[in-house]
Amino acid sequence: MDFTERELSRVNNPSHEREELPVKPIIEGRGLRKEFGTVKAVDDITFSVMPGEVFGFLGPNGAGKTTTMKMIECVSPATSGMLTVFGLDVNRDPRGIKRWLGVVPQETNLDPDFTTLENLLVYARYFGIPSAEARQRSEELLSFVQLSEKRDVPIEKLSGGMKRRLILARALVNSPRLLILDEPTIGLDPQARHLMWEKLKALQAAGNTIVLTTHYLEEAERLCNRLVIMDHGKILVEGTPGDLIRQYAGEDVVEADYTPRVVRCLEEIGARFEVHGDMVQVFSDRPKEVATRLLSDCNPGRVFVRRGSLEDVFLSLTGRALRD
Amino acid sequence: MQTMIPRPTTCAWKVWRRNWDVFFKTYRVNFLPPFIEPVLYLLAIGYGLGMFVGEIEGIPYVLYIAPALLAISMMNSSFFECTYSSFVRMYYQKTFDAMISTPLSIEDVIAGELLWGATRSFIYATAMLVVLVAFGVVSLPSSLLVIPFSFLAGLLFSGIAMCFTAITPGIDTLNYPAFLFITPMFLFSGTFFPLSVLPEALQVFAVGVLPLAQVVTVTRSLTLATPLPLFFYSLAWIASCTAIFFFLSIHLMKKRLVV
Repeated sequence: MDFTERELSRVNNPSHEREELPVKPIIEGRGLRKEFGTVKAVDDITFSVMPGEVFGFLGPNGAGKTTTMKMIECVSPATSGMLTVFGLDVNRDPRGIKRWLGVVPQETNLDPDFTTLENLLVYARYFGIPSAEARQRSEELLSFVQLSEKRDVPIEKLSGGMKRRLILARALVNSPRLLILDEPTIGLDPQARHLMWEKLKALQAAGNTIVLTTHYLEEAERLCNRLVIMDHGKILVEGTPGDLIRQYAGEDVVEADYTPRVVRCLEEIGARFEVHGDMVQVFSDRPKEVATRLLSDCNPGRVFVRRGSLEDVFLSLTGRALRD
Repeated sequence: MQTMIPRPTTCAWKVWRRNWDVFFKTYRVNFLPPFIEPVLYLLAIGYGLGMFVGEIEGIPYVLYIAPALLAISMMNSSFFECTYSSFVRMYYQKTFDAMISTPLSIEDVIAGELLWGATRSFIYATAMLVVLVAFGVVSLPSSLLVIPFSFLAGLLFSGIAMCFTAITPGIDTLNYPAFLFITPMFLFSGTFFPLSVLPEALQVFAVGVLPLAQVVTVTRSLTLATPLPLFFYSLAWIASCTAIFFFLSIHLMKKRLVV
């Protein structure tokens, strides 16, 4: 595919400017805060995103993820703190930063007055891309996101998954150095979600720097090299998905029916466990032993041993109370 | 941190061009009003009602209302573009959000919208002028000056409209300026009868603050090829208020959208 090859060559070509830059963070935020009246949406966060990395912001609704994205996108000014993108200050040089950003917003904001192809062409014009170049690039991108046959279709005729893919294509129209995706697969069916992941993987393999927010933890586990989990405007933890799972959930998790006898057994072993509904979840570095013990002595209805997941980390850090 | 005077750049034309492209995608519908409206008004009011009115201030009634039709068209096309249509783009379509994710600033976006509102006034007034010339109810060549003037008048109404759009809580509340400001102005700005028949206080009010009254004065001077007494006053009024509302509306929109 032309487009992917070009992206690859950009990375592999040592003469390209990107390669000559010393390795500095693409995004650096220090002591970043955003207040809406008395609400602290983002409360003193510090993070950095390195070139070529897929960096995730995870957290429940209202954690401050989208607000952070909007500050990086230079559309919402920070209340205080420092934030640079490509080494440029977001307050001083928004135009210089936005020139090299590709943004996939949470809300679908394609232009309903235009067709699929026209959406890309009009968007390219906002970036000042000459029309011949814009046309060629748009056709390439439509084929990259598998929408070539929909090029002349009005936006309203596209499915949810197609719209999200078109937004991804739109975000790539200016050959961005940084791609920001706010909930890229929200509301998609599994097929559409897998196709989106495949495209993001391809972009990642081509060396693009990607920042994404999500509350699909499987998505984060698959895509992110490094991530932070946010809640109430603060960063709780930062690390690779593997490290976080080992540290906060354990390699394996044992689950069993919640009965008084099981609880008594676990207390005897001294294992750490949490009760969720009619199940108990046991965090242990000796999962097989725990499971064997439960099976032999405690007469549990069901026992499962499964790999720890980011979801376990997430729930143990942010709790199970419902958010809106 | 933010300067008080907004500074849009030439990037505004990209926003303008987006609206232009959309307008010409559906040009058949869009060109209907400026060709149909004047024909209906001229026949019904100009000639029909005009039979009973005869002359106003020595001018045949149909010639008296022809410039008012132009002025009203300038007002409606730009005002409704920068209220309901801009609101839809801003609030429902999220078009502005998409635009400011690119190198465009919010100042560029609003300036582009205002210039587009002015362009719509220009397009409608020009199309309508063709009809009025065909009916022989406007003087030439002075009436040709209506064409550039319609852009200025359109920019004035666009700026006023965008101020309402910046402060309206929802699309329904835009009915307030539409019915409490635009509709009375449509009737009481020297459009279908002279201001001199109104009580003196209302006359002063109209001449002092009603934008359409100024636009009617200038347009009527041009189509009759005789400058009315308040011609230069009205022109200066329009020019200065256009500048004020242009910047004020961008400022208010920035306050609304940059949070």
